[in-house]
Amino acid sequence: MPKANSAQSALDLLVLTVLERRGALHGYGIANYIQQLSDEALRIEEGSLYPALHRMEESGWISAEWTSTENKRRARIYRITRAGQKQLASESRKWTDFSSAVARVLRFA
Amino acid sequence: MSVLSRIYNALNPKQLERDLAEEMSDHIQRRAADYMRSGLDCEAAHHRAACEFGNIALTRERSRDARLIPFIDEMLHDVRYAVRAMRRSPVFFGAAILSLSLAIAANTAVFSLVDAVFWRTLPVRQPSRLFTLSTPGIQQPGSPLPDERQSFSYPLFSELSAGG
Repeated sequence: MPKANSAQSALDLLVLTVLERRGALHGYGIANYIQQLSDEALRIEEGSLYPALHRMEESGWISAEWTSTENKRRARIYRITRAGQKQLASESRKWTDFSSAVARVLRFA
Repeated sequence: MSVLSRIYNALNPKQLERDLAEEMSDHIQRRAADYMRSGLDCEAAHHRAACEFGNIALTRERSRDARLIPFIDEMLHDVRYAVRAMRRSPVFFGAAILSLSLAIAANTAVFSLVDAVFWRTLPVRQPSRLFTLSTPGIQQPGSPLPDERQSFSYPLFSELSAGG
């Protein structure tokens, strides 16, 4: 079974997947891309996204840097790290195992 | 490294707070820009983007908690509050500190005494085999034996044990 806060680990999984596929993104880009990839089914609340991004940065799964945009604004862009890629591989395996197990139970219950 | 950076952030949260505020405002700007591209006017776009973000302060707080050690951060807040309260009523705090220190000092003194006299064994190998040697005091002729006993100095003891 995934951890009790499986919503949190699902969000981690989504963010890592997006960063793995798209390279470097800022927070808004990550939220948008998840929304696009899921055909608008998943809309990530910023109230969960940013704490998750910072938590993952502390854990070393993603790295962040400031870049300057037009209008002399600064934007924080995130990239996946090597440790993050390992984490992504193991978590996505756990997730698919878990969801197929649930699907089996639902089918045969 | 993560723990060190968290301790550093707990002691100097201002930079972290500025960075978080900037990041969230950038998010809102980008969303507003998207809305403007899809036809909304500037004010409506910004308003809608800000509303959709939700509770900015809460999100900032939660992101902040992920980047520092909440225990140290909260402790520093409590210390600052206590210092402010102390400045407002110094007499009360003076009395409190004085009575606390008296109590602690008395406690420590009594404990040290009891510890040294009662609880600790003497620094010898077999303390149960220690004896005190003494003689009754010099008896004046005609008076009873004095109660006070006199023990020996070490030179006298070695003389006596040598059989002299």
